[in-house]
Amino acid sequence: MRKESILPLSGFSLRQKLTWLAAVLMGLMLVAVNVGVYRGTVDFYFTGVLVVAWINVILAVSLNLINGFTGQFSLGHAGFMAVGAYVSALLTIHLNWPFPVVLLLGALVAALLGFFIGLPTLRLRGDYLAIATLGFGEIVRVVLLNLDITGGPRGLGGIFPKTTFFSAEVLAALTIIVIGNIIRSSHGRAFIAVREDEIAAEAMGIDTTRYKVLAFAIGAAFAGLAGGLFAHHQMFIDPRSFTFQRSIEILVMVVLGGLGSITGSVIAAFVLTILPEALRGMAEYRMIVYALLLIGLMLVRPQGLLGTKELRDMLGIDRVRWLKAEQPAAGALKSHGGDGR
Amino acid sequence: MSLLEVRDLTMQFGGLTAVDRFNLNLNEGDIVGLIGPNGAGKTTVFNCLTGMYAPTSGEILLSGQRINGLHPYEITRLGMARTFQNIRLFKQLTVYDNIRIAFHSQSRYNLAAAVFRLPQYAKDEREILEKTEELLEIFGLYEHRNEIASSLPYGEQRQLEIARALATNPKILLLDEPAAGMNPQETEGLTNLIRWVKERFGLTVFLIEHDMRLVMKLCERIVVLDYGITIAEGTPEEIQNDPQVIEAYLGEEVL
Amino acid sequence: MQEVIQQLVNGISLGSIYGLIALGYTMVYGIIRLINFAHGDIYMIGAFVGYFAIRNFNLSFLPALLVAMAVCAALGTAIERLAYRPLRNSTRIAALITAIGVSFLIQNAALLAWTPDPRSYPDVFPLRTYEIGGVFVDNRQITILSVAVALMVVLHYIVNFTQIGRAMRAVAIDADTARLMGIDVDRVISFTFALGSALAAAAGVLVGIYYNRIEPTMGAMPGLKAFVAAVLGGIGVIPGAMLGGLVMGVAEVAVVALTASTWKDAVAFAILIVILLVKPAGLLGRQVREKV
Repeated sequence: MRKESILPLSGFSLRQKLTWLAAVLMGLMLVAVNVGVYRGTVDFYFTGVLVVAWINVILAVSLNLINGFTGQFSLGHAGFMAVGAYVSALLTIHLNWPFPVVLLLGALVAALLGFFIGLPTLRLRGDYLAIATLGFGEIVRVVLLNLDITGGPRGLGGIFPKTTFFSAEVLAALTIIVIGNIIRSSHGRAFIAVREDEIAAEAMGIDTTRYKVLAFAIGAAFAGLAGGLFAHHQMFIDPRSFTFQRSIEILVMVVLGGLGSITGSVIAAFVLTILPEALRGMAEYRMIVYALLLIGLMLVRPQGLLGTKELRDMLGIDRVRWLKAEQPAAGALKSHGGDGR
Repeated sequence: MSLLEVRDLTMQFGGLTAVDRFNLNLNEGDIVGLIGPNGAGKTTVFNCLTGMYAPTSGEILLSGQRINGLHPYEITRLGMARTFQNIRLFKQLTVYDNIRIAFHSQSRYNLAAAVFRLPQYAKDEREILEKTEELLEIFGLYEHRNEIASSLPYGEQRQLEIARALATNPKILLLDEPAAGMNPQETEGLTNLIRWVKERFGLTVFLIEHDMRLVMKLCERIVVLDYGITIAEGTPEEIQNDPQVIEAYLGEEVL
Repeated sequence: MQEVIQQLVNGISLGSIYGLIALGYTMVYGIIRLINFAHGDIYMIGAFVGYFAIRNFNLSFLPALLVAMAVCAALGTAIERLAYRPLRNSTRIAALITAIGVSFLIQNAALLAWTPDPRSYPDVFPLRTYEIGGVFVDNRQITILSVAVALMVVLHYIVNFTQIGRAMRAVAIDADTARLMGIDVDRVISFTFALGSALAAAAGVLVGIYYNRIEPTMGAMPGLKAFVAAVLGGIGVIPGAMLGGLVMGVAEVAVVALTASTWKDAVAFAILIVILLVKPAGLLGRQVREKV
């Protein structure tokens, strides 16, 4: 039996070594930021920017599940976010329920809506689905504008500021873990199969409709969660926070990072949240930069920065060996003969 | 009771009758061929059997259970798997993942087990891994396991597609022109592979093929379709000597 | 009854504008299967070009209309050549994302150049209202309707009775075969964009005159609604776009008359979702089956 370690400690390429270095540096930076925020040495404004970055991570990763992994095309993510934001904000304002509970309920209502929207519209393909989800997002916005309880165009104010840097960070991490774990399972492979070839997926025993609806429901749940965090961070929401433009901003993050790469979405969410703050003088050019970014990416690198690669791929961590290493005795490592590998 | 029974299967597209009152009986262990000129409705029969099309009329019974109108994935889970005429692999995925995806319906764990990495997840995933490697070995694809499916040579893509269909654990395997685009040596290899796989996995095979050498050598029974109508059915010898078949399809050059 | 007819007149005026924009969507989609998201913004540019032509160059209505159409035809072809053509062989989603990018680029560039403030359109026609049996029709509505009808007749002629029109139909059915038959597919696609963009520009000028108000973000909503109109009529079907536009216009006016005007933007999308579910090929479209 050949010895298989999880990490090929001797066999790293230069590129992998550099990625390790970058990953370790980023990890240290993250620790430093956490300590800084905890001690109160990071200024209030920048802490706010980081909160928004974590919220954007949740939005981008959850949209990536729908658009990147499952290959559907949703332009209505802001709609789900809006639902989560309003539901949780109203529960806080009127009933003052505990923060985790209102967040959960916001996510749940968004998921339900994702399910009911998904069920009929997912018979549509590609660009038709894009337009239908866009339409859904607009309908949500118009409904929010017209209801009394949502304050109509005046919006909702006086939401208690309950979102902290740490709650946003923990929930973003949770999102990454949950969606990551789903992707690396037989269910996740079903999502990817739907993206690759629906007819072949069906022929392999995969209920494609179920997985499309599931992707929408899960994606919507996390968008709703992000909406709840957003509402309790801004303390004020109105329908203008959740326009089509918002959906496009999230889409840009997903496309820039790579459709089908969670790592890419996380990096892109951070870059696209912090960069505009750094270039604050150019605020009015932001949407132009986004537009050029989209066009340029599609022309030059349509797969985005990372394509479908994840951090662990780039670090050279082999999943299969990992799985085998979990139970080395059970004969999972049968010899494959001397075929020269 | 036969494993697969098709009674008066008819498929119409608008005014066009693509398949007209098609009948078939497959018993366990059979290996039956479906031949006919281009456009005779062979693939349409496959598409009806596997749920890609809902037949206009007729009955399809799999182990006595009526399956018309079921979704393709349901039919696959009931034990009928297929390959495609124009190869439908997950082209951008690795050979490995192509097979692993097909084990989908054999993993029992639910979403929560995946999210929380419960023991059932590890158990099923390990099992899938073992079975995948086993299949890859059988088909001689193990060395290629990390390659992207579309980068494989044509013949190996065909083999991968068969391996992938087997991963769904079928009782009946439908092969749509498995030898298309293969040279005589490759076809020879494929003929042996199909025969071997059939024994090894205890399969019943129903295949569409234009390559007469493969069909005559492999099949115990042959059904001939022309313009959607079954014009003959019998052993390879009977088919070769059937005047109607010769007229409709085979012509002199083949025999 | 008079009220109903009055609303019908208003709806048809609005609907013929949607129809003009929808034609561009439907032609482009029919030929390269792309939802040209930037189409609504070309319509906006058309309105602005007309505005400057009338105000700064003292052109009268018809010359201003033609200038706007010409400028937008050039813009449309330029967008196709620079942004869409390089992606002709990539995925449809990549092309769609690019189109969204182009739309945002135009809209935000216009916001920078012309500020977000609405402008009032110069008065080309003094408003004159006629009463026919209790129904009021004004000369602007008559202009819109007659320009729209005239343009549609021209389009119908081009598509059905000219060589380039025949080439367009051929490319729409099968671009590869059309190329083998000696048709310059790139030229046909350029021409289609030019034609569609010119019609959108005309719609822009007409809207400026009708509502007397233009702004850089004006393209987004009518753009989407016109797309819905195209889907409603059956995407790729030219008479369908017109029919869809009229139905949309009338439906929207009806909803505004019956409820509050704030609901009107939801109408289009509700119609869209219903039509996609009930008859995805649209009113005049044909269902196609995917080959397995």
